[in-house]
Amino acid sequence: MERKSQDKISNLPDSILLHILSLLPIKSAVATSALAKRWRNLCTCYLIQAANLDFGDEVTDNQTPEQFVDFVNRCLNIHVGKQIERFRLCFDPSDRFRLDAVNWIGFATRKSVKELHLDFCHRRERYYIKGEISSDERRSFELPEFLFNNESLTHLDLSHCVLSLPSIFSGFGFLQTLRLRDVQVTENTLECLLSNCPLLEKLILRECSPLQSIKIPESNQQLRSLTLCHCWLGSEIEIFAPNIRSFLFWGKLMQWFSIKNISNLEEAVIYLRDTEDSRPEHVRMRILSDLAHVKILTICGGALPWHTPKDFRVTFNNLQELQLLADSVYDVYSFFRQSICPCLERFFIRLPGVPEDLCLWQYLGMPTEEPLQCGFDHLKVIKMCNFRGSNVELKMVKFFLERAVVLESLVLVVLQKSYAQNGLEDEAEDFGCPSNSGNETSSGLLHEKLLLLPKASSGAQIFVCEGLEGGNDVLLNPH
Amino acid sequence: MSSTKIFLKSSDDKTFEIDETAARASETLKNIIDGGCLDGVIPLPNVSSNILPKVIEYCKKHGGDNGSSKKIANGGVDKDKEILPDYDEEEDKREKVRVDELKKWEEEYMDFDQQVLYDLMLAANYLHIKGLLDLTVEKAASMIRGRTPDQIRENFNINSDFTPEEEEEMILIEDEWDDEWAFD
Repeated sequence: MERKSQDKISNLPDSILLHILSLLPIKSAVATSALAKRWRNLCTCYLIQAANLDFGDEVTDNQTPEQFVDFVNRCLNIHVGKQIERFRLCFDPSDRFRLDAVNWIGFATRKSVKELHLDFCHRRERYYIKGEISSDERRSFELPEFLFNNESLTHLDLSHCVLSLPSIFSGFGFLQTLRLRDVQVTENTLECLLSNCPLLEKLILRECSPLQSIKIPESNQQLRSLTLCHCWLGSEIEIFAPNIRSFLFWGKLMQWFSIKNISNLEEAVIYLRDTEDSRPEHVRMRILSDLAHVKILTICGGALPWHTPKDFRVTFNNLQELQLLADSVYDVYSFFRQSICPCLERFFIRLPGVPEDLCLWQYLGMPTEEPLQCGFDHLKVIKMCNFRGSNVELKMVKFFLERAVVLESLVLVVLQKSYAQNGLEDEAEDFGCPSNSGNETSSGLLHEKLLLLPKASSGAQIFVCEGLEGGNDVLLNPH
Repeated sequence: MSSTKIFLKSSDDKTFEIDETAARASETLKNIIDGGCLDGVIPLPNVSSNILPKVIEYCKKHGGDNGSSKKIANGGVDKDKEILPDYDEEEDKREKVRVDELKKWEEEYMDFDQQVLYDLMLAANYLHIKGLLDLTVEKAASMIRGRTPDQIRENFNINSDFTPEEEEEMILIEDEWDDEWAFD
């Protein structure tokens, strides 16, 4: 504040300023060349050697394709560095600039790029909105074959393109991360690609809808993290990944996986988009039993079975943290009716945030009673998001408070005013209070009611705070 | 843990005490210590007493561990975790807690104005404290990222030293390179 009029940054040594430039997307780096002479010289120095060439979102914003192509060509023409670490492109080449895009990939390949991010869709979405270009006029960008001869790659991230392998593919010997988003690839190609990446640690497949089946081959011994997101897989999924530690599934699922060996799995996220009854109960039961050894589990209500044989119980011996994305309070009861979690320490739940329609759940045949035998000997933290203070929710709070003997804190995130008010006012009516009571009275009422509930753990503290709908800290958003 | 004390003298002749293990977070200080050139007090003619305590605070947190902030930047423990047959779960858990705690600490630590940022970058550069340099440089980069030249100039009080002719010429070049800059 005190010496604000001084230009301190330009007095920093070259090494620091170059370091700063290296962390910027190319466009921002180029922007600094217009600041002053010193910056212009530095920027030129930087650009001809830059190891991180990021032609990402910021470059394509508000530019015509011609300007963008010209910009990239200029930057690549002056580049004399022998190697680059990272090359990122976010551009829709359409038919006109296909050759340019192929040339740029060739540039990156010649300079033995290690981290390659190619996204060929950016503009298409924008044009769709403007209605300038219709989908059938376009054909997806086909990746050039020479891309697959680049043995130095460690990270490969491809979006919105067509992937086919050359007839002779020697594999990516050093590839650690592979992410495909909306990539047209056949089952055979993917399997061939995966079996030739011996060091692959992380695999993310997103919106790759043509895939009917996925096979994670035995050769991927290093694979530790697998994410399948919106792939709408029709049939078989085979996972043989003895070292996998984290598994995230997000989307629609008709069949559960054929899992051969996932004994090291520690963390699983299962979020099924479709809640219709088409998925047979035995598939839902398999989900629970296959994941029984995880430590951290995030699961949605739709993945839980409703009607199970009396003796069906899954023991989650290692489970320490559970996040439940519930469609109804009754999902909580379902889960604990079917599962025993002797080590559970932290329980997070995202409630639906809308009034529960008890009749609907009964109509759908969902069991609504509380589980009978259920202990929470290690449960220390409970957090509930989208809490409305309705009777069913308060009953659930009571259920936990009565059983959690070592509970330290219960956090209730109440929906922001409009929602909260409605919920709590309904509640006020139930209790015979005048319905015109203001919001403050309602939350005061909630507090009072909570304090009256019996607690198994005398030290347990109850916190009520206001939050946004959704409870984003509970809902994991995959990439 | 060794508790040998080391004394650092700032450019304005004030002396500060630091544990040897903490001092080793600085490559420069580490070389001085290992080189046996330690002779009572280490003079640091490029670091003032305003900023030295802040640097020492960082070193205390990261003593003997230059890589930790990089680890955080890469997204937590996962990335650097090695698969070993006798993989220690408890250790892994402690590591996770440690990283979370460190992240929070860094957030609070990095809450300061521009003047401190420059001084800290210079000190980290001079003392070769890689973690601190990465942290501060990233903060500076985040203040430039996605901004137009005018916004950057205003933010950092940079005065253009281009002659009017050069400015003119540059606008032409800019137009050629990227039309939108002029309108941003």
